[in-house]
Amino acid sequence: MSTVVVRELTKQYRQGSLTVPALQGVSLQIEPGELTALMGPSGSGKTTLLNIIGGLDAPTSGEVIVEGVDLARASPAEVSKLRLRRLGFVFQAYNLIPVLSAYENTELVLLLQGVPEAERREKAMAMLEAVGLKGMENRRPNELSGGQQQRVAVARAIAASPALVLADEPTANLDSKTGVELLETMRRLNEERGVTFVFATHDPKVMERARRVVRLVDGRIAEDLRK
Amino acid sequence: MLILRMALRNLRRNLRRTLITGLAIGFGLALLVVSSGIADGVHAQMIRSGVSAMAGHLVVQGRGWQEQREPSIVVPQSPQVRAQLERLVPEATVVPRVFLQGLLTSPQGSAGVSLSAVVPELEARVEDLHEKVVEGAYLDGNPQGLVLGQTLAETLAVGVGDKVVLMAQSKGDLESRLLRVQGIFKAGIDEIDGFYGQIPVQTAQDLLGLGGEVTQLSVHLGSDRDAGLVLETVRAALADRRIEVLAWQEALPDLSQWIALDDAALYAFILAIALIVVIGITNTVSMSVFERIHELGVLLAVGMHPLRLALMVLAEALLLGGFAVAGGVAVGLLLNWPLEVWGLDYGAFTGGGSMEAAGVVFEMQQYSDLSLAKVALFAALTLAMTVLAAVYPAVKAARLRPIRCLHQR
Repeated sequence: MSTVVVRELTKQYRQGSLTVPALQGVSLQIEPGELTALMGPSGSGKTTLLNIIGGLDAPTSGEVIVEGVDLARASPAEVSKLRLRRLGFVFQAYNLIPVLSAYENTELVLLLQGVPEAERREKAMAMLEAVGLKGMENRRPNELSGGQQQRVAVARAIAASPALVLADEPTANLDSKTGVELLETMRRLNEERGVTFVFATHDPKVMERARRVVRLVDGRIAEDLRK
Repeated sequence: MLILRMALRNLRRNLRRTLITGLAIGFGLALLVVSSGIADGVHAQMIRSGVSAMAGHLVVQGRGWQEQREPSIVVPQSPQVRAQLERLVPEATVVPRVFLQGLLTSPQGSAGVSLSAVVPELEARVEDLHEKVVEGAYLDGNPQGLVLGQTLAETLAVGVGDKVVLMAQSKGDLESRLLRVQGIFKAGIDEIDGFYGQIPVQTAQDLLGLGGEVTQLSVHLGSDRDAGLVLETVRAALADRRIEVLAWQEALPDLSQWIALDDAALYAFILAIALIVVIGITNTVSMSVFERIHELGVLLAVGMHPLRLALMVLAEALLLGGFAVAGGVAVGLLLNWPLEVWGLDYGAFTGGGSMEAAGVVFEMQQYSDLSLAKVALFAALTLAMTVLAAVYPAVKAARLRPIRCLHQR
C-alpha cells in the first residue's frame, strides 16, 4: 500500500473577488520508505500540498489517501487520529510548545497516544539523543538555539515512529552547518527506521540528499525525478 | 496529567493577569463569606430576640388569635396543654402568656399600652427584658406589679412605686385594676419603650376573666435547628381544632419576611459577584486562548483531539478557580474570625443607640454566625461558575482549524 496517494488535486484560495489557484491537478504517489523533496519557488504550492497531505487543509477537489485513509471521507476525529498515530510534522518555524521542555515537547505525541510513562521516557530520551540533544532535555524552547529547537521538532515528529513525516522548509531558519546536520539526522532516521519523509523545500542541500525530487511550478508537477 | 501540567504552566505564563483575575475571584468570595456570616449573625440575633420576646420557636394559641388578636381567644384547657407540651418536648421551656391592650392612667395622664402578662421566672429564662430594667426591679410575686417602658413612664409621669390604673375590655365590659410601677425598662426601641409593659399572668387572667387559660403557650428550644421536627410532633399531638400551632415564621410573619428580603438582597449581591467572576474569567481565558492560537494549532496539528484541547482550556479555569477559591475561603474565614469572636459594633457607624427592624431589636453589637455549609456552597458555586465561564473559549478552541492557527502569530 502506498503511503500517500494524491489524484487530480486542486486547491483554490479566494482573495476578495479573486480566485487564486494554488494546486492545479496534482497527482502523486509516495511509497513507504521514500525520502521525497517537493521543490519549487515560493508560491508553487509545496506547502499547500504538504498541508493537504497532512490533513491540515482541505482540497478544493481531488482525492487524497494517506495510509489508507481517504481524507475527504474521513471525519475530523479520524483525521485527527491519523495525524496522531501515523504522521509526524516538522514545521519551518519549529512550532514547539513554549511551556514544555525539550523532553516534554518530544514526548507530547507519545503522551497523546497514551503510551505508558516508562516507554515514553525511553523513546523520547533515545530520540533526543539521536538528534544530538542529550543533556538538554530540561531546557525550554527559549533556552535553545534555532537549530536545537528544530532538532526537538524533528525528535517530536519521529518519537512516536510515524509512517510519514511531513517537513515544511525544515532548514529555512537554520545556518548551513546546522541545516546539514539536521538533514543528515533525518536521512539516518529514514535509512535506519524506514520512516517516509516528504520535504517541502527550496534548499539545494535537501535536494542533494533526497532520493526523489518532485518539482512544482504554478501548482503543477513539472518534474518527478527518482535518483 | 499533561493537560493539568500544561494548564498550570499556561497560567504561569502571564502571572500578573492570572494573579489579578485570581485575586478578583478570591476577594469576591472572601467578601461573600464575610457578608454571609454577618447577615446570618444578624438574622440569628433578630430571630432569637423576636422569638424570645414575641413568640417562641413555636407557639400554641387559640385558633383565630393570630388573625383577630382578641383577648377572649385563648388556648382551651391551657394548664393541661402546657403540661402536655412539657411532656412532649422536655428540653423546651414552655412559657404561658396573655396579651392585652389597655389604657394606663396616672394622676398626671393616660396612655394606651400593649401588655404581655407573664410568669416572671419563666419569662426571665427566655427573654432579656429583665436585664433592661433601669429603675426599680423586674416582676416578682407581686400581683399588682407592672414594668413599663421608660418613655411610657415619662408620658404618665410615674416612677417606681407609683400607682396606675389599667383599664381593659373583657367580654364586652370595661374592667380595671390598680397596679404599682415596680420597674422601668429601656429597650432602646420607641415602640417598646413608649407603649409596652408586662404584668403577672394571674393579674391579666383575673382582669379578663380567663380563669387559668392563656392567650399563648410559647415553646422555646435551645436552637431553631430542631424546630421543624418539634413543630410536627406538637401539631400531631395537639390535633384540636380549637388550637393553632404555629412556627415562629408564621407567628412573626413581619420578621420572617424581613429576613427573607434581607436574604434576597444578599443573593442579589452574590449574583453581582457571580457576574463579575463570569465576565472576568471569560475575558481572561478568552485572551489566553486567542494569544495562543498558533500554539493551539500546533497541538491540533500533531493530533491532539479537539475535545482534549477544550479540556485543557477548562483545566486552566479549574486551576485558576481552585486557587482563587482556596485563597478566598482562607481569607474569608480569617476575616470572619474576629467578627465571630469580638463582633462588629454597628454603633460606631450609626452613632450608638438601638435600632429596630420588623419590630425586633437590632443589637448594635453583632456577631458573625457563619455556616460552613454555606461557605462550601459558595466555594463550589464560584468554582462551577469559573469553569462555566471558560466553556465559551474552550468551545472556540475546540473549533479551531489547525491550518488557520498555524498561519497566525
